[in-house]
Amino acid sequence: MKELMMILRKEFIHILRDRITLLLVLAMPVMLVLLFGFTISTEINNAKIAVLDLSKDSQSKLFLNKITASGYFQIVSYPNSETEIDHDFKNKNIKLAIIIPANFETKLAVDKKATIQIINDVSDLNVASVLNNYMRVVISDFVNEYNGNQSPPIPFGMSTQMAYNPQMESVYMFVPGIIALIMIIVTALMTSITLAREKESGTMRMLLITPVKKVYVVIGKIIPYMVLSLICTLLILVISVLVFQMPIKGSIWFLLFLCFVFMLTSASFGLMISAMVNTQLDAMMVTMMGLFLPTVLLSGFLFPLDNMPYFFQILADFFPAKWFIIAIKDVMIKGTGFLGIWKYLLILFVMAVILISVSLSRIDKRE
Amino acid sequence: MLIKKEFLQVFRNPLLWKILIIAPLAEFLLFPYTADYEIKVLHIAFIDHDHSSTSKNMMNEFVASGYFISHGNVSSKKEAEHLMEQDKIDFIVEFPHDFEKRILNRETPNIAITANAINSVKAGIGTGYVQAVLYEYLYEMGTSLGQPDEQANVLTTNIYWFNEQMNYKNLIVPGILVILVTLIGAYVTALNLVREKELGTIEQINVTPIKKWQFLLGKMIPFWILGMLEFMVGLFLMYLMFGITVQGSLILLLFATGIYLLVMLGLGFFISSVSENQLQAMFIVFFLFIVFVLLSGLFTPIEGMPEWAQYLNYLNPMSFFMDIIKLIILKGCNIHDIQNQMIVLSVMAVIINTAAIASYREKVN
Repeated sequence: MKELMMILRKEFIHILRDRITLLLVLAMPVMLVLLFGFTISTEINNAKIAVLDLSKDSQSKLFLNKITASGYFQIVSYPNSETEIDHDFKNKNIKLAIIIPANFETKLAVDKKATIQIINDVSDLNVASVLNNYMRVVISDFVNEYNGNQSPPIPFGMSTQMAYNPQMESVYMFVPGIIALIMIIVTALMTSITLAREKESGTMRMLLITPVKKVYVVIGKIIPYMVLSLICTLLILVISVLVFQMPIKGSIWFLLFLCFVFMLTSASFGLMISAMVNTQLDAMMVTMMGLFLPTVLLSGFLFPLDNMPYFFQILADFFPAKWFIIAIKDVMIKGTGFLGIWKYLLILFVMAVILISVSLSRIDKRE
Repeated sequence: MLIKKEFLQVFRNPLLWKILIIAPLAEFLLFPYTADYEIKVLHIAFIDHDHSSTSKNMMNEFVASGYFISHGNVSSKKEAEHLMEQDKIDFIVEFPHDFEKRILNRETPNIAITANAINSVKAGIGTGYVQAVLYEYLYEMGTSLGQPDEQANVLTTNIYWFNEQMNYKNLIVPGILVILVTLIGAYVTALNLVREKELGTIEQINVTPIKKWQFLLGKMIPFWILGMLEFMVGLFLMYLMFGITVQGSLILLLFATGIYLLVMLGLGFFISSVSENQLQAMFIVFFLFIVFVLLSGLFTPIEGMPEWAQYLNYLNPMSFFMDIIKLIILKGCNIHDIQNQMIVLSVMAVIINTAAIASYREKVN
């Protein structure tokens, strides 16, 4: 036990001495939550558009006023031809263009029908579809007003309820993912790098020939980073509760226990990686490509798993983040207890046990 | 001399070849298939208290739209909520009692839609789809109940430019090229230099009469060439795997990439000069990289961000380069269309490299 305390002390001193890294590690979760919380939204305001108005009569003017008044759009250019529209897409960063037909007013009054062309820039599909919907809303508003609000009788109404997240805050979705990412960075990445550093400088061998038990060396290496990542997790939770009013419906102790299990799993991934590589650079590369990237892409927190080819959906099952994210979402947002998520806990735990035993035996063989 | 040494060092390192070939391949194999933000599949359950032909038709309409996978009818709200709690469904649509009858009586019954809003993006876009399906119905029924001839109507036709197949990959794949170049530029350069610092070989070079800028140039040229090679490998793979061709001039594209690489290399140098060990360097690059990517608009529209974030983007070189790449590859822009972005990048390159040299000089004195 005394030996373990000594290793722990040494490792803590190491961490505390490197002030800049420590600061960055603590700043990372804060920045991630704020950036994700503030920058990710599907609502678009003041999108730049161009209008090719072939009629320039009173109705088309009214329509343009309607567009500007909606707040969704900002008309930045009035081209005279389709070539000029093309030019605007390339130069003025417009996201959509419309063409109002000639004799718009007469067509509405006499034919009772006019067609507006919408040119969508589908090089960005999501933006295009959101803006297209906005434009249709504006057009139908305009039509209603033109008809003196005597629209046909409304056969039925709709009411929409947003379950679990009435304010539609995007952080609800991202906080669990950010916690997973930070824990992977701090526990897996940093554990694998410090172990690789000891190898690189040859001190690992020295540690292993001392009478200190090998298990203590490894535990002593892992615990400080688990403490650090626990601090990061608390930081994330505090910000998401204070800044974004995210609820924590389940028990906070149970939540922390869940985080602890995931930490253990990701630390054992770090251990496994450090057993495979010899230099810090390799450790970084392998952790980034082998663990971090799959966590970003395959955990379902940024990109829906449903969309992916079947192969990737299966692949996702082998990374711990997916299970952790499902579990932590349930605990935080829905208030699920142990009975609801014991399966996920078990999966994470089994992963950790397998990885730790494999990597310990690998370190053994090196001796 | 120095350049030759660096070349040998860079190209002898086997890890580097791995990065050069494997990194773009892996990213191209992973990203386009997984980083798909588009909402295509929504799971839906119905609670039908009406059991009329109208409600049945509407339910069929949902499935026919192609966006929804129906989990069929559930008998109670409680059951539906249970399904939602297990994340099996994203939407519940509830038809009230006597729905059809009340429509005919002009009582305007309400359809209750419940969205699983934990994923706010999915809920927002999905609600749009649900409403679109219902609106279609609303319009048809409204006209059959009312007098459509009296009403003027504005129709719309949609024209799609710059990506006629409406393929999501056409957006994400050029974005990956940007990420590749950035990683090579900043990450590999910074780590490589800090490693030399840790090993003490930089001290040795410092005592030779080689000037600081000569030293940096000697470091820079091999990495610059490496980055360009990487980019070309990426372009080739882009064509081979996804059939995306460059609409604009290839030479202009390479020229722009060259300038962007200078910015990233300079950033890498600067970071290597301010950090003490590899771990620090890695964290600084990583930190900046995430900020750059999130703000660049690759995954979420810049227009949707708050104003301060949009202003922050003026400091983000990746955002300018992302613009250039999209404009040249997808829209076929020429030099006049992108001259502003090019000027900004050039200015950034000069500033960051001057800062890097100054910072190295200071460290020595």
